[in-house]
Amino acid sequence: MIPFRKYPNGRLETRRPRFASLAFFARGIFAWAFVFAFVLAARATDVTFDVQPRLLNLGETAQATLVFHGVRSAPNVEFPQIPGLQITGTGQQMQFGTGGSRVSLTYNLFPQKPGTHVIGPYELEYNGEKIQIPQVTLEVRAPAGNAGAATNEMIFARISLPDKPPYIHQVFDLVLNLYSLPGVELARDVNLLGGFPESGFAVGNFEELQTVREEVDGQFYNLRRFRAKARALTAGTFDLRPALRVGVVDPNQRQQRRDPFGFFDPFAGPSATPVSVAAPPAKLTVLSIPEEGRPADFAGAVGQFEFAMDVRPRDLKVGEPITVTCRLRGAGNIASALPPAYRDAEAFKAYDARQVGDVPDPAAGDGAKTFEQVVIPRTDALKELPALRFSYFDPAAAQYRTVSAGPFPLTVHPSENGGSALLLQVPGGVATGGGSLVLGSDIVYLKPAPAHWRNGGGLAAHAPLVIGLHAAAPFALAGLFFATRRRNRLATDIALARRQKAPRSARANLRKAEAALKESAAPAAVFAPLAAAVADYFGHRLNLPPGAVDAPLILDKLRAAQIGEAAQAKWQAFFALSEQIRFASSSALSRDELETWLADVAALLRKAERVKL
Amino acid sequence: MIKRSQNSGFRIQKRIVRFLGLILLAATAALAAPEGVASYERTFADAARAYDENRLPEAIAGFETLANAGQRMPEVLFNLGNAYYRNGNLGQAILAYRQAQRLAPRDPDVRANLGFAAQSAGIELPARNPLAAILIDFSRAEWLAFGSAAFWLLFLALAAWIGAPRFRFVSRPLAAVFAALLLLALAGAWAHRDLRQTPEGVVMTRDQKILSGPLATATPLLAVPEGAIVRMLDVRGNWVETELGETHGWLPAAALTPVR
Repeated sequence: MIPFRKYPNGRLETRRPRFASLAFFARGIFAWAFVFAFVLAARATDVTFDVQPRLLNLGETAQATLVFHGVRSAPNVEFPQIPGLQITGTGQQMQFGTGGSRVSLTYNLFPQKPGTHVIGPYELEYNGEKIQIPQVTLEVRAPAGNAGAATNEMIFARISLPDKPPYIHQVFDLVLNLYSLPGVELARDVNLLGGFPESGFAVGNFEELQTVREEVDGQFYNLRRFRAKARALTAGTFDLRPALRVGVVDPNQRQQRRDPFGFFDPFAGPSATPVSVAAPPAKLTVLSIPEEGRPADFAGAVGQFEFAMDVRPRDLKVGEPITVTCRLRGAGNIASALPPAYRDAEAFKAYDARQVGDVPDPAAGDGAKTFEQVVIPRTDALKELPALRFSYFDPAAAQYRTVSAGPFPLTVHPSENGGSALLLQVPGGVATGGGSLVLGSDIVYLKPAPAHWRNGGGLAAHAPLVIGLHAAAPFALAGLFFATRRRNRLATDIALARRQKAPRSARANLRKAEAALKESAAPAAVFAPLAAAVADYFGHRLNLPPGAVDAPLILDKLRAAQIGEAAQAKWQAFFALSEQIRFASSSALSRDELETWLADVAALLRKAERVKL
Repeated sequence: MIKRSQNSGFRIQKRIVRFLGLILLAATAALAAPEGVASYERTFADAARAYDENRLPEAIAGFETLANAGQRMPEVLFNLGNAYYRNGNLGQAILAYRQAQRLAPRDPDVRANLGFAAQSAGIELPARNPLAAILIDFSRAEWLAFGSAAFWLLFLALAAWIGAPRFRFVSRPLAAVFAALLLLALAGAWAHRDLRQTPEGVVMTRDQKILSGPLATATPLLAVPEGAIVRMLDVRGNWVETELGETHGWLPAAALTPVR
């Protein structure tokens, strides 16, 4: 902690202590002083000070908060001693947010005697600046003041309405006050159970204000306040019967949680009993806007508004568009307020105004909205755009007000097309040869007949076909994907590729054998392709090199695959006969025998295709 | 062999007969279509002539006939709106213009006449948030065609991505672009679907008031002129829950016609 010091002119100054004797001297002389030590950047700093609650019973504690805005560090600050009030620092906290950084110093204030305790006012010298801290008064009630507490309500609610009856469409604050005795702990969430008119009355979102302490019937209460912007859409008297639901924390359960022998659950909040609290019914009278003095151009805007206009370009030719920008800003029913707009005149054609930019929330109490309107001069005699007036009803003054903007001088040159012919230029469009029409102050003439008439219901009639085509595309894509994957696999996996090729090569050689049989019926000519069929098939099937395929190996593989005794015998006979015919050339087989062998080999190969080798 | 030859000749003869029949059918269809088109063009021309000669009920009937015959095209609806406007039926005119605008959202003539009619009726056209306004600035058919094109281009890009790995440096970003375009088209189609689910409705009769509930004795919230465009949120019996600006309430179903 930094000691403090007060100067003769009553001004407080912050400085870094250098000698203990000097600090001791300062502490002994002045009580209403405190000293800051600064290691802060040299820039304007905002410091706020608050104490809550400011009404309390003896034995309760208040909390003081000293906040340095826009800084990343702050010195320890020691408050001067105040008779009957003990001030203890509890720490500091740094926060970063969209509004910048800030450092909060917190203190507990323990009143030691009843009465009024005054803190401040202070003047801080901070980096060469003088910052005023307002005076804060703390009212402390003696315990005897709580005599009637037992007869008071523990929790109750009230609704606060504006002092003056609001006008229709006037935005006003609606505050729900929730009172609870200091010893009653409430859950953080509070639910609104309704009680506002369902129609003719618009209530925005509620926001909770700072909790304060208030005295009611001689008893202090913690007061939680919930504020919303409200607006009546019709005049008359509304019955407001709001009710709240809030959880009351059970102190017994809280004690159980502190039981050192129990299991502590860090994620379980305090158990709360929901309690419904209804505010006393209140009647809100909404006044209608007076007829007397109502301007002719009044369009229902209620509040306080500013109206500004901009006109560009101001030097142009007949037929060229002028963009008129109207900006409305203020507090009130901004969402439904409409700025004035130009209407068609002899000298110019005016199109509808269009709202641009952000649209204010209907529940917003203030904001801005911008409209753009396109105006096209019909003649070069147009020297200015006249002023526009915006009228609104000011509920604070209970009278109508009118603001205006303009007139706006213009320099309009004759059109290059001659005369004062006006080409239709729709806002946002481009006037081309085919899209331009000579326009009067009327609707655009009929359109010519369509180039193509619909026949048979158009797209709707073909919808199933179109949908089917689109639905087929993913399947085609999936087919392509799998085909590509298979192609890539065959390109990289030689064994698989040869396995796939085996039946094809066997069939090709069998066809050659058939052809040889038809031509000559010579056993050698038939058995050569037959042997090639068998060798190629098993070579590809077993992924063997060309010279490695021989009868014993094939017979071993077939035996291991358990193709059966008969088939094995047939294969052995085929290999024996094949070698005999091909190398010895001594066998004489008839055409029928050759056909039989051809069929047998084909059958044996089919059978071999079905077994796992 | 002889029998087979006879059978083959019979088949050829049968195919020729079938081919000639198809040609005849196609010719009949081709002749029939121009007849329908001629009828539509004649009705359109008659209605336009009636409009020019200020025989407005006949003009309205002519354009209505075309619209009811499946020819709900921007030109027909626009001219129908003009005929209604001239005839003093502001609600019907705004309905026809709005329907035309739904089919041709960026047509400057439709926009101008709708604005003119709205100004005459003393109403403000509903404002939309910028994104919805952009999406509705293209018709449903345009979004569907755009989406279909994006779909097939995406299909081709994916096919190239799968089938031609060497060109993936091109096909991959293209696929991403087409996928984004497809999503945009789906968003546009969704905006129109939203308009179909909770359509706009035009107030067709005068002196209507939005009521706080679906009862004739409910509290009036807002007076709406003929031609006002509201959003139809729900239907309960003979009442329609509506939204106009920030006002939610109920209107009699008989007083509203949806913009479809």
